[in-house]
Amino acid sequence: MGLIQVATETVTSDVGFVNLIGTTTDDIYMVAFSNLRGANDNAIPYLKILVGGSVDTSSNFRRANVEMKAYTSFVYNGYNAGQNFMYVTSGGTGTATGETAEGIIYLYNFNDATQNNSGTIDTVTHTAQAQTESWTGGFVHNVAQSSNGIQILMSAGNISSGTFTLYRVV
Amino acid sequence: MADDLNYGYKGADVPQSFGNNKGVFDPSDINNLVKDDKWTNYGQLELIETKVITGDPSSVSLDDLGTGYNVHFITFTNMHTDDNRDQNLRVKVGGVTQTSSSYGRAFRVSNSAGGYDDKDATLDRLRILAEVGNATGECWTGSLYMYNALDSSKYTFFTTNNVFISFHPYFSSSFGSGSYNVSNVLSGLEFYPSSSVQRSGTISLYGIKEYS
Repeated sequence: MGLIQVATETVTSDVGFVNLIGTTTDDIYMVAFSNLRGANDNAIPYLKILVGGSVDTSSNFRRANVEMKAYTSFVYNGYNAGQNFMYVTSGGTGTATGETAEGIIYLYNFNDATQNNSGTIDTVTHTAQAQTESWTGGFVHNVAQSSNGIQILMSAGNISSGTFTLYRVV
Repeated sequence: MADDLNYGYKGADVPQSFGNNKGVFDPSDINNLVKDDKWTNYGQLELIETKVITGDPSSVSLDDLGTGYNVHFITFTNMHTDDNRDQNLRVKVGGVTQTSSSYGRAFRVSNSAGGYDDKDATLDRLRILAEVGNATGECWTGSLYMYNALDSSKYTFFTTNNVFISFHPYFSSSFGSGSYNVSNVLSGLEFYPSSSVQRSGTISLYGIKEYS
């Protein structure tokens, strides 16, 4: 496996969102992010699809995932009715030391206009409750369309830090 | 022949960055650009070290994590221990293995018997997986991503996906995450089984390069 960097953004002061644009071939793409923290305590990172650089606001995300928590029972869930965003982590980031989120997202069929966009997500968060939580799951964005990237944002408030990089997998 | 510009052979000293190098460069220019992280060098999965386990060591260490990486990627191939052993990981700081109860983990083990949730909020090690067998064909293989290991102000995190055959034997997979909840720069990683020795296997460490 090889990786070719397509886009990157490092956040050091509050921004509303991060757009990673460049899924312009039929290859698989990978997003690596680290040190992701929301400005608001307990805000959860979300993912949305970009079409022509603009956010697709339709409620077409289907997901299945497990929230694994180091301190309590795990939660197995999914959502098939359609949402206009995809969860990226289990639990929200915090504003205290170490309370950030990190992870890997693989993106499939983003460029192909005849296929639904899909992805897999593996992330780890030291939450606002100072607990280790893991999120593993997948999503399908149930629209056949060509999408050119993703947007990362928070459930409330701004992103205050993080490094986000989009790679093409070769 | 180089001129007196830091980057480039002739003309004005133009801004240089990854994916946007302009000019005519001699080897000295390229060395300067590489040193300053401004040379376009596609291929951002960079092999740091491969360790082939031989001689039945009690533990295996990776003591070079490279420089400048926010994310590392580690692959494990044909990892063998003695029967019914757990595979553990500890971080090293300044060359010293860290044994405080500062590791958290949350994993799901799926197997042909149904599986189980595997968690601990405060342990003195990160258990990557458990109950690996050692009969014919029983071993484990997988991968692990590591985050923030080289940042003194952040905790170090891990996400992992593995497949193995347990001692029962059950065909099994495990996935989840862990954390080392101390802000520190890591100097290395130590892998060791719950008892006895590491019999064999190959561990490769990569840095995932990113150019700002």
